[in-house]
Amino acid sequence: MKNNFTILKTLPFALFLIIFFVSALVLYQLKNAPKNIKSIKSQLIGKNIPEILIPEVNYFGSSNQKQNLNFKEYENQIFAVNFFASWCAPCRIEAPILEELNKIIPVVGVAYKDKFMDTKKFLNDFGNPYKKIGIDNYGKVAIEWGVYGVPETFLINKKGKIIYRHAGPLLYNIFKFEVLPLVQEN
Amino acid sequence: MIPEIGHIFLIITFVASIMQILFWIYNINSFHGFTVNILKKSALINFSLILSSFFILTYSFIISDFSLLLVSNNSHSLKPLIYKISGVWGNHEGSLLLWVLILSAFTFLVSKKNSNINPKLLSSIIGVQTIILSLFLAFILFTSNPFERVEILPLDGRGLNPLLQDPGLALHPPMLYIGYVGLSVAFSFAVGALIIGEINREWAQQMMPWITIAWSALTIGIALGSWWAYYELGWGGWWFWDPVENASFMPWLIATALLHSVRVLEKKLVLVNWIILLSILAFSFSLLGTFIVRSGLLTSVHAFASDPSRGVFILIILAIAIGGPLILYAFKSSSFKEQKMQFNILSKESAILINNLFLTTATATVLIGTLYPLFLDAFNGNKISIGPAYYNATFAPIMAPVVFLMAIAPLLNWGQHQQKNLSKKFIFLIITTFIGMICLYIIEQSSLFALICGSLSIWLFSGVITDIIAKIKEAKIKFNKLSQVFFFISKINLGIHIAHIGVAVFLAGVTGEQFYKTEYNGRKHIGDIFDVGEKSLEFKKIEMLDGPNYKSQTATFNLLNDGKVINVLKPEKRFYPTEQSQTTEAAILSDFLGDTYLVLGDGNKEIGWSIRVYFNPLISWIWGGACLMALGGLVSILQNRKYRKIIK
Repeated sequence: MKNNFTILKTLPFALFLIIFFVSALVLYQLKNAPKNIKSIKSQLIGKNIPEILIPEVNYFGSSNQKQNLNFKEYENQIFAVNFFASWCAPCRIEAPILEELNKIIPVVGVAYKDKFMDTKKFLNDFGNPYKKIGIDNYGKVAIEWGVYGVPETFLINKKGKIIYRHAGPLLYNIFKFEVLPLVQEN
Repeated sequence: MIPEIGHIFLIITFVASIMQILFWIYNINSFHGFTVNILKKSALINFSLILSSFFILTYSFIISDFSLLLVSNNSHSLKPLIYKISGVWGNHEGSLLLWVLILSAFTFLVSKKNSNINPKLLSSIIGVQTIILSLFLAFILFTSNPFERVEILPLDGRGLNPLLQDPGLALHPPMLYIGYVGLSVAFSFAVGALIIGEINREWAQQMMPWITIAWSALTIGIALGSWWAYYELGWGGWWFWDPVENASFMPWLIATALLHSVRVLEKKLVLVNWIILLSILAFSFSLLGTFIVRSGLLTSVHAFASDPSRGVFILIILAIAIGGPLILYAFKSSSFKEQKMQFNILSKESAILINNLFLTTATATVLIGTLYPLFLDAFNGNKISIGPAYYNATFAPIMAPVVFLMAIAPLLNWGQHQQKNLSKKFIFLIITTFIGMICLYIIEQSSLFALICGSLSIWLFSGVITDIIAKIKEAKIKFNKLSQVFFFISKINLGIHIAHIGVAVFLAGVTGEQFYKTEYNGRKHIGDIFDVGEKSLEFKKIEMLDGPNYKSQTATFNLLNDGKVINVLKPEKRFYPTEQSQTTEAAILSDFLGDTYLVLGDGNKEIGWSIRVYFNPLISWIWGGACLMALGGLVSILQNRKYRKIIK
């Protein structure tokens, strides 16, 4: 055999090109296909809120009231429940937006597995967006609410039923396009 | 903080690898001895950085650091430690990190072990390896970062897919990746040879151990995957021609062809272009496998990371890593000096050439079967899947001649001159096979295909025995001196014989499973006694039990023979609450001669439970055979090392 460039030797490359272009075509179709956006839906949506049995803590008052956190005063109105912790970085991001929300509807905070002094410092540093705060030392309430992680926010309607859940920091666009319309509707 | 260190290590390695590539390209023609030294050092640095990064990820899994997205999605604080560790590679991002870890390890080892080859070739090899490394590091850093933090701090992890919580599968990805990535060494050797335009017998000798290691690991990896599918998925079979299985099988077939043809190149300078092409193809198929698994192009049980944008990135990697060398091949492969191949039909090299021809054709049929659904999807949007019927009709007939030749080839000599007593060996081989066939027919009367398949196994086995006996006779060693005989056997090419016997054992297993399997499907109530084949089963009870991180529904069956209980089978259905998923644990009674395989389906007290029973004769031989093949590979590496030391 003489040392010549033969067309035969480009054959592997040609085959590869075919496979390459077909794969590209399929990928292109896949990319443009409608996607199912999977959102985490709470099992609790449409159900009554689980009973809460944790102490309410007044972080800035002179005396610690020894009473359980309750939502009695918010019956017949829409309100929000927010799970947070001082050790959770994303909670800091959502603090100003929660404050906005608190101006429209009452927001109840649940401090998840947090120390009293840490929570107090957190509220001092980033502002207190809550009407009242309960402390969930053992994470029991979080389990009953099926909380996936902190922060997490629930909306409860006039009939005491959960209508919305958002896992993760309540960013501005979520607040504006998801939470506000729901609040106005109800 | 600690995960960020791992992340920074990866970024440093990525930047450093690009600088190394530039350095190598800059010095590609003006070659100095110190270039290769710097490249060797950089291979060590890359390896240590990636290793540290991998340890950091493992550490995050062990301490269950759920602030990492990967850990929170794939681990759980209650999971046993071994599955926390195997969770590192039980997912897309972590397994890619393992991939680059193995790649950098191989690069480092090559730079260490092959330091005596042509320094220009060595620096090209390291350079090509570094290009692949940088491509995959870019892929990790830009699309699949294992060190990504979470937005929501989860209370606990989501757990590892329960199907993957299994000892067999904990080892499956590492073995498979050692195989896949090990083939990159052959690839880099080939591209290196193309770049420097020079090839010699030493090239083949240096490359041989790497191919053998990769091939053995790939064999074990595939076998582990198949074993896992057999006992965990509860489908009752051992090979499903699933696209992802094919993706691992195609590199194996090409690597097998390469493994044999490189032996020809070790002896004389022929088939050079062919071997270069095979080396490139073997690793290309590994990459294609990665692409198929990772891009979600083809759906299968493995599609745990389907994301089209990742697919685009891998496609770009493929274009560079496969397209580039193939263009290089098209233009430069003609420049190699070659000896003239003297074609004698009765010689080892021609037998190996024919074996290569069949193996590559077989690979092509698998490739067509795997990609055809993709082509159809691209052009008219139809979604089809190609099943065993296609492969039984195309793949099996192509592989039969391969096995037929496998028994003959070791008996032949290299080159033109054949020994005089060759016909004697053939007669011995034919007679022993014929006796075996008759025995097979007497034991179990069966179809023609079963007989062909079974006798091929016997044929191969007697081929190996014939070869060993003939070699002992030639060396004039008396058979009654056993110690001498064993010493002699350990000196001949024992690895090859073990691997070939492995294939014979494997084939026997396949014959048993394919042609002598009995299957039973039905719905049964508690207390029922029913016959399956020659034995019968009694459904005793069903109960709910608690496992460490699952709840299980366990049934108890008695296996009866002539009314006597000979064994108890306990198939389970497990429910994993964290992952919200269910697995089927088949009850398998395994022994040397075959398995009894019982799967519990859905049901309740009123309508009974659906059950499936299989008697799979010789099925464990399939994996036993695969283990023998891999063992053969390892033995031949060890033998070669000894042999080289003697020469030195």
